[in-house]
Amino acid sequence: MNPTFDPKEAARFLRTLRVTTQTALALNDVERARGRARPVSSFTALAAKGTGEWRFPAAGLLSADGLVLANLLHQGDEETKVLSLQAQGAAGLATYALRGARVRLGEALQIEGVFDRDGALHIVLDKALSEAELSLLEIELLDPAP
Amino acid sequence: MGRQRAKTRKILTMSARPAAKSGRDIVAYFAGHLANLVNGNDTLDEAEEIVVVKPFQLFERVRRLLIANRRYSDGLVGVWAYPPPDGVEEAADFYFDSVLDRPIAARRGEPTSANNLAALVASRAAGPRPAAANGVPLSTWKALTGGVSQLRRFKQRNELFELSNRILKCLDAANRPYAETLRLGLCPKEWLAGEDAVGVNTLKSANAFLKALKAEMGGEFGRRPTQRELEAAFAGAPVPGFKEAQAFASGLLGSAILTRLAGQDQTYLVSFDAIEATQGAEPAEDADEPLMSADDAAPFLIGAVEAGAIAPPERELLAAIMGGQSLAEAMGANLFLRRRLKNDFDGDLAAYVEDLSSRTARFVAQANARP
Repeated sequence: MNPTFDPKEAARFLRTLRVTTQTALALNDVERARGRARPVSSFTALAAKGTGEWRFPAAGLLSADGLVLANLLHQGDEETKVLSLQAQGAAGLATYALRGARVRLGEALQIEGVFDRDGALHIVLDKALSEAELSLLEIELLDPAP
Repeated sequence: MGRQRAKTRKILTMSARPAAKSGRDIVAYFAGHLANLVNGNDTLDEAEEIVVVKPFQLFERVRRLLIANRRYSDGLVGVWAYPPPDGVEEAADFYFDSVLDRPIAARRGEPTSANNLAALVASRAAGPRPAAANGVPLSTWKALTGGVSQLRRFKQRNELFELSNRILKCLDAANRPYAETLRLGLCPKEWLAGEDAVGVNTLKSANAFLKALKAEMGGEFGRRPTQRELEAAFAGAPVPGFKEAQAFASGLLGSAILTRLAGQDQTYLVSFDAIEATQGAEPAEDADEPLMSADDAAPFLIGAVEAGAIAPPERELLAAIMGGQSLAEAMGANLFLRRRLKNDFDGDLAAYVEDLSSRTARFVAQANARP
């Protein structure tokens, strides 16, 4: 037989369930994004998937936390590409400026560098990479927050 | 102005992206997220005692989340309802102004949910407290950031839950007109701004009417309803201020809803389904009671197990979450939970917890609804 509950207590229970589960989920997501000592930011490839191969969007890729914008630049010979990472706004600067980072492109490439005081980091990609490999972009911060 | 623009626009582009995977209760998740950000859980080590509230930095972080996180931009902000040239940034800005920074007015001289939130924040002051602004209605945002700048962190999980609870109480009030407008499939910027903004009660009634109309139309959208369908829907769910269906249908709000439904405007049925699923639920009126302890919640969880709504290990998982354990701790090494997570939810812990919470809530609501 199913129980019946006092309506007021049931409302309290439902609210508690709502608050505690969603706060625990949010905390889990915040901690996972932060990754404690080794934060990893993934990028959301929102665009440029057509009938052909994936193309790096002309407007760039924004990290899932919205704090870094990645752009793909071409140098004179078109073969050499530069991955430009720029921290966005005060929150982006506070997180990334002057911090060491490892940039990962799936299994293809891992490069370490340091964001400058303006929150910029440029990675020269002299190895031949398909743009599809750039869709696997991740940044891992190497040192703890100052 | 915006309303005039909405009336004349016929063909609009819409997002080609698939609907975002979104939770049952995006507003409660957002409240929990804000609580964690204010508490510095995204940047500070667990051992740190003090968090410095930097309003602009927090604003930027929240704004960027609203823009970049699909769960928020689709489910909470509803960027799909904004016609060009507005995009996700403009939608996030309007959401911030009209929900997070919307002053919450007092009723009968009682403290508002924003006053209660501000009081909780002030109670954690670790430095000088500015004088409280008397008589000025506070918004959720001002309650969080307009007072003390250094806080003793909400380190105990029940303290964090209480912060989240008070933010949620503010959002349940401040977000409601916005959510009701999205449920209608309309752009909040066009219906909630200015002196002729539509009131929340009218929006709720219009949603009830729309629901009745959809039922009358038997799921056949992309057309205008017949007179019979309109009248039957209006008889079941009248909208205050209008004597009959035709009067409502020919008014500004009614005609915008029908145009949307008929697919002559920005028809994208996510408005009716996704929003209903994520934030359509009306919060309980008597939401001012404190949160329950895990012990107080136990009879409800046991009842859910006995009724077969959840399995015994799932009861333990919920009890652990309500008792303040992290999700990882609460899952532990329980084989039943791990197997269920892997087999039925493809390893998506959030989906599992939300489903579990949803099953439990449904059981309690149904048990309570029985005479």
